[in-house]
Amino acid sequence: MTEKIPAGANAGGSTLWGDAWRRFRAHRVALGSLVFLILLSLTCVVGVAGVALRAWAGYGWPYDYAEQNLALGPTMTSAAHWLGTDLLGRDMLTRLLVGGFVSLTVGFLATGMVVLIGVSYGMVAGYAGGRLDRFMMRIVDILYALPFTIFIIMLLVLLDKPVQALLQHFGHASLAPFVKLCLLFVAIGAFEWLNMARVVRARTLELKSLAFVEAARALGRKPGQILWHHLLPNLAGIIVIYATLSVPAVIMLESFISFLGLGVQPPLTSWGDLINQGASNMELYPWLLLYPSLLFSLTLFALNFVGDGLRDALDPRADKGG
Amino acid sequence: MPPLLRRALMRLLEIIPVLWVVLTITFFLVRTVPGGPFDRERQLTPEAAAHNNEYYGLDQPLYVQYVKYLWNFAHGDLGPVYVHPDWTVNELLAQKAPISAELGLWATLVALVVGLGAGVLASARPRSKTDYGTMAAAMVAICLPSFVLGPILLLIFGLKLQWVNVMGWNTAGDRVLPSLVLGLYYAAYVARLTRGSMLEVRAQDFIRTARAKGNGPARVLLVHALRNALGPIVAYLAPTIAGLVTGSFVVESIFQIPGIGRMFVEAALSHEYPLLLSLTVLFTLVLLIFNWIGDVLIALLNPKAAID
Repeated sequence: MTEKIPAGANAGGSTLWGDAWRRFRAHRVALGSLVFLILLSLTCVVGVAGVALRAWAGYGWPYDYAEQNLALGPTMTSAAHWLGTDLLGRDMLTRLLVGGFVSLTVGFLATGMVVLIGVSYGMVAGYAGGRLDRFMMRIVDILYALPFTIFIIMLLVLLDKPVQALLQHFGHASLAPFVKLCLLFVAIGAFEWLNMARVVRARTLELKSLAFVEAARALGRKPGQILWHHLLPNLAGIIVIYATLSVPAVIMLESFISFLGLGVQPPLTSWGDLINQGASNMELYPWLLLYPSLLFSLTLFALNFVGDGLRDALDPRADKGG
Repeated sequence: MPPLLRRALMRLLEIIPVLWVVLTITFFLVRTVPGGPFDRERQLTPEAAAHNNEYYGLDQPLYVQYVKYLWNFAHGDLGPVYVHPDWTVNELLAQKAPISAELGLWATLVALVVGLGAGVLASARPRSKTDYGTMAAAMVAICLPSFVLGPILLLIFGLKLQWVNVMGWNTAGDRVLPSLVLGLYYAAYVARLTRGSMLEVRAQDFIRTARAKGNGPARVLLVHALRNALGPIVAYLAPTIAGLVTGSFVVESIFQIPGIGRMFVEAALSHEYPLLLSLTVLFTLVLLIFNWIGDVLIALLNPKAAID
């Protein structure tokens, strides 16, 4: 009879999510951070949509992120350019919004990869148990002991030229920045899932010894069904917590790689890339450094607070600790 | 042999096969990618390129090169540097690794002193103004990664106030900003961990016993509680220190410090295979050793946890 109720509806009606939302709302800073993040994301999306509309139809956003105005050069805040222009006379507000869109997109897509790999790996290891579990976790241990930033950088550097050559061969050279971006989030996602796998496995181990899983097994449900219908809804809380906490980590990693000049390619930009360019011209044009730094740090702040708030709201131990 | 010691030695021996796997994967990874150390913007004549390839053995089958490389590596010869024929990788590392290591140790000191101090301070009176203030400061430090904090501090103290040199690694003053920029971020994490761990430990019975026996509050906090709260901090610090002493790409680029962190990116960009491999193995080795030290320390601090 439980089959009739989809997992999502079941979770939505239960007190876990209702309680969690109530506790999260009480956390003023976390709620404020969430509102800030939603507004910021919307602004970035509107900006990018406006730029795209302008490129396509000729009207919409007043500036393009790549359009140079060398006669104008770097200027401070003015009526025409609210946040000034960069060295090549490009509108800073537009570039900040496009850069934010890129950084946030990479952050969320890479986190999607982390969730996909980490959760399925952890659930399978935890549910299978025994030798398979030990083997799978040993692999995680070994991967954990490797310097991953190094491998990400090495991959990005080494794959740069072959990818461009390949695209040129097929006549799609203009796609290079986007392919590079995809490489970036695949590389980050492929290396960041270890924590998620560990946490999910530990929780799965706890859950599978409980009576409801045993009942499902006694009713003849297959392992796949048990994992999907019975365990996943109960893991949702912990997955949400760790996914939220990994978004800032991933955004930081992307910006760090872009800061080194290995991430997004000009004229496309991201916050890390903007900070990098600002840093190399900070002596004469400090605002080129300050605006992206400020926006980036505020976003990290908000993401961390939302993560902390969610953890307090969803962690079952939160109530006991008082 | 006591089981703890035996397990520790086994873990130490495990490092060798892991290093070999990393070396092998990296070797074939960098070699399967098109391009080579001698295709630059200014093209060499085909004869010169062929001569270079022959000289460095790059024209031989890959597996021959691999076996030769492994043989030399096992004998301590890390290989040539293609752009600077006068240098070997051994000499280059001997000159640059100590610089990165020194910067890393200063940053570790910052992370330890500031982090532990702030964490203990915050946990002394939970939910007080000191607690909230310290934790807010830690959050700020976490949200200001080195590539944001570095340029901003450089702008203020180097360019505007001119208290320190903008770049270089010569005087004692040159150490201050890079160490702070590198260390503060980790200090913030240590502070958060210390606070959380201390609060957990302080709720336990043996702390009440210690106080009931007449120990002063400072002694209870710093001796009884801190010692038992160190576990998670050591677990976090072990890989962190390994990362710090092997050089930071960002901080070395911002402050123009001639360490191995910057060299790694350059080596990858210019297909310096021997250098790239040596650095990867070095990073992995240091990380594995520090993880090992961390595990042993945790076992010594808390013998109960080591049993299971």
